[in-house]
Amino acid sequence: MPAFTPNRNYPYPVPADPVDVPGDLQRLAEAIDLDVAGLTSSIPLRPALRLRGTDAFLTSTDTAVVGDGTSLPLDIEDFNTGLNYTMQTHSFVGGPTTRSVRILDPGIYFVHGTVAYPRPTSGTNRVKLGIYLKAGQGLTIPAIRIARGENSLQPTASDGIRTLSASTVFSSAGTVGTGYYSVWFHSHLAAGGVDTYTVTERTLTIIRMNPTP
Amino acid sequence: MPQNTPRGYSYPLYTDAHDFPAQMQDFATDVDTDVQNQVNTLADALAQPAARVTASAAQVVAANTDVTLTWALEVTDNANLFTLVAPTIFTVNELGLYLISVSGEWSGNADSTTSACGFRIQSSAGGVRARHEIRRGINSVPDTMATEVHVNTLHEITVVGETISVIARHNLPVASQVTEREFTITKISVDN
Repeated sequence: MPAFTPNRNYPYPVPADPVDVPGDLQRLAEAIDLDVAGLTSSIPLRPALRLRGTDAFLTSTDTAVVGDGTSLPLDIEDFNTGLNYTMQTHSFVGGPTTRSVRILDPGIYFVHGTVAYPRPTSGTNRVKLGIYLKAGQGLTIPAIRIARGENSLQPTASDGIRTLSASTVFSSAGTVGTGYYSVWFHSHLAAGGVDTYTVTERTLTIIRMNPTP
Repeated sequence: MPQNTPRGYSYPLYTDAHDFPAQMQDFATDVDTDVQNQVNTLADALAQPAARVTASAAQVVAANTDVTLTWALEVTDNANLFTLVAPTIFTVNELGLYLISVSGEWSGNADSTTSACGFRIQSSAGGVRARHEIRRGINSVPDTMATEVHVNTLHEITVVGETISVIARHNLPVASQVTEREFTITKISVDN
């Protein structure tokens, strides 16, 4: 009876087997061929997802979580190489509406968000415009800030569309109540308080760096 | 004497004693080991080292002074990149390409001057790798609101044990402070 290699199960004859050089070579060649073909056709991809929102979106004055602004809707999937997710919109008493991407699988993720903001056509001059990436723990617990970025200057008539970005690494256990990611924009007035602002394109990119959280 | 292909697969020469079962076993085992190594390498490529550290306590940054930020909480660390014994650095022992990000909040100051505040990502093997600063307080509006700064970069680790840290600096005439902050690193590729 032939024996088999320990890892990939390739067959080879043992001394007690009848001599059959062509047959044994063919069986080994075909086993290797089949194995390598299978590996080549199933080279695992790194799970990665980018979601985008393009419609002009008016952020609200945030009275629930001071300073965090508004979570932004994302409705276009630019690419997805195997990340399992669902979209969630939720709010709760005392909390802001949160539009999240719920990542279903456990792992360590690189998260990157962008928000484009043009010069506003009206309104008081804002002195602080910022982006937050937030990670939530479910539908009833406020999400926490996991990354941030800001520009202190509102675009003027000489400026085009500016973009804010933030990125970070965050771990999700993949259990119930974990893996909710969202991107937020806020604009502040000189006198304090969050003002409304119309943003345009925003993105949220999530890439799994390790399947073990 | 049996010979080996460049990948280490053995094969007999005409002058070698005939021992087909043993020679087949040697060849099959060589291919088996090589293919399994490739499978392991592919699996390892999807399971990268990564770490996230944070802090929330205010750290004072003196005027016009480089201050290395300190980190208090090791939120995620699957490769011993951080230790609270050395709370200002990631220590990287695997060569390769890494995505590094830092963001944090500079406290507001009741000061009507315009100033700049920023972070620099610094490597022990080559100095500053990325930087970003924000101008705060405009048109004599007091910069009493917190200012959020973010920097990220793609960096090649070329020295085993290379350390990465974050420098905070501002140019207010008085001390300022950094509060909520996060510092992360993840490998994305092996080195060439």
